[in-house]
Amino acid sequence: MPASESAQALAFVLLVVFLAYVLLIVVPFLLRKKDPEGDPSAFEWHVLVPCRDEEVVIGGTIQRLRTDFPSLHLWVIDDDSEDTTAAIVQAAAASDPFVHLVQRRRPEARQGKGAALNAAYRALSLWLPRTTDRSKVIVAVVDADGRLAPNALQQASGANAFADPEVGAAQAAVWMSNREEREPIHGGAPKLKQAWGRYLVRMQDIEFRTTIAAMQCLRLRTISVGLGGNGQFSRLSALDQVAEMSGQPWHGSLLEDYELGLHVALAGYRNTYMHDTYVEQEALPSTRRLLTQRVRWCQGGMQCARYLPQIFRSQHFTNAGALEATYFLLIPFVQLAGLILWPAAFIAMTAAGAINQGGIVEFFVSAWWLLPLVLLTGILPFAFWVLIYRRDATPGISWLRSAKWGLGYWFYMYQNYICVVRALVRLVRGNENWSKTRRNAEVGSTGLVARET
Amino acid sequence: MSATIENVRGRRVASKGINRPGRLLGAGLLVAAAAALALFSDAAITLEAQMVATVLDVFTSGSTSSIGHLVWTGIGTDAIHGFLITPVCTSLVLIGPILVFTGVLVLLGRKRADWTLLGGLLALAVAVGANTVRFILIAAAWQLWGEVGFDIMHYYVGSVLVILASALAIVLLLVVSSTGRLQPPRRWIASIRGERAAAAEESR
Repeated sequence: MPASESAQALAFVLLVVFLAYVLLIVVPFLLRKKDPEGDPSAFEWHVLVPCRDEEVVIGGTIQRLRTDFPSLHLWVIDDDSEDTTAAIVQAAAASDPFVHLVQRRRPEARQGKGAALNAAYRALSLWLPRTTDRSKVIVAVVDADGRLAPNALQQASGANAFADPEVGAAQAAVWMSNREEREPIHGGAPKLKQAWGRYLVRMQDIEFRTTIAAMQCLRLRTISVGLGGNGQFSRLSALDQVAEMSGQPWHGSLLEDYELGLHVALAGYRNTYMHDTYVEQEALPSTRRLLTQRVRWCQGGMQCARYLPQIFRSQHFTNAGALEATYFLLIPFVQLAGLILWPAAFIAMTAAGAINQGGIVEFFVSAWWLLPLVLLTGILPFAFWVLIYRRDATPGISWLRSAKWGLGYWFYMYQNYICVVRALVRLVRGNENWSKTRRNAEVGSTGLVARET
Repeated sequence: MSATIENVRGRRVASKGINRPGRLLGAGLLVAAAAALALFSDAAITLEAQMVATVLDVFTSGSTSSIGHLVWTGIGTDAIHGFLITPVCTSLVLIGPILVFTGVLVLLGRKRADWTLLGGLLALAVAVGANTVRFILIAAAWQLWGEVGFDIMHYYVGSVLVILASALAIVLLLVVSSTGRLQPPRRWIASIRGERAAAAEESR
């Protein structure tokens, strides 16, 4: 078979595998039933909030969490902030025994979110009475600007979550808190930039509430649910077991949350996904900051690929779960292959067509029939998610807007290709230093998107 | 390494020892078969053309024949049509990856080899069946509606059919190799029926 046709055949195979995956995730998502709620009083609740220079948001977060969840203990980890974060938390802790400050200083501080969470885990362990039933203590992680849904604890106490003793960790759905903001870029920006910002924010909301949620619903079936950085809940005894097996609950990869989920599963627990509750977080309205965030996630995912042999050897992973985890961890590498294959197939087809038709223009004129196929197999598998988003999140929007969002979501997905290349370069160079993502409300910053540690 | 049995919840219920040399041999044979099809694709497509001509004889008017990769229909009628099975139209493009994927699943040792082979067989049947149906639709449409019918079936209906069927074939391979079952779990069907009943009740 000539090389050009081999490229087309391989591209076809990639397309089929991708469509198969879309089918696999959309069916369980559409068929899912609501999760039952439970009794939060059956558990003791602790929320860890890692912070570095979060003076803009932390006060509001503390107030909100304490108001919405009066029985919840809040552990705010100040990772040696240079602003007034620690002072704000200390003031709150002085008047509220449910608020605790975990103060860290350099050189131990600023070693990543995982290290900060481990510090809080140790502080919590010291604080709890020795007689505590640690299987009834639930530890959640919420971002400094995170907002838990009012029913979060009821869902987490439910029969499909921590009321099941096999469940070691649970992940809430993630919504974007600034999805309806007309001016998501604070501090003034031109109208066009604000429009672009609104587009990016909306696409992130669609992504988390449809595609990622659907992936998690498939993972409920394959018993391989992944944990995210915001809205993760863990049973303290599960964290203890992970710590016993590998030194500490959170480890050093850039995707420390997904990594924790792997460790919890390898420890013999089951991770679950709670679609009927959510945590809200700020979406990023800036291309640069979004790409920085996604490159970090992508690189973290590539780092977690080292767990594949353990996953395959593990008696605690189901066959389907092992396969799903493999697919997820290999996606960046598959995308890298696609980056070469898709253009190669296109060039091969165009060259062959141009030769047959007597010119490139003649070929494109005669190949008009490809457009509907491209629409069906290239754009529709992304765009159709907006129909689900419209059903679940924005039922009143017009069909025209849905169509625009659908096209926009297809285009938005191409950022993955930029991210995988940058992530690979960073991985090969051994560049693993990252810093926290700047908040949208940090208006005075000079435009740094991530301060390197 | 032992493979395991799991029910629809993905739970391990038992394990069955399967030796690694057996898996290596099985996987090797499957991958070798895919490689052989690629290396001898000319001969394979010629054989495929003969088989397609036999099938089309049932669904088209006139008789059929094949020469090399060319399939002729409508022989003995006013309209004789010939179409070429190209390297990107052949079922080999579907068979090869399914064989390799099945071989990889057998080799990984996480799934029962017999379930995996069954899944592979079913996937092949679906994929090859869909491509054969595509050939039938193209030939029949050409006879009935001329060039327009050919274009619509070849470029659109047939392509979409094969792409979707191939995706379904992969899903089938994964589901059958993981669970050993051929039909959706009962509770999925019950859930669909329950939702339909609830929707019907609401609309009354």
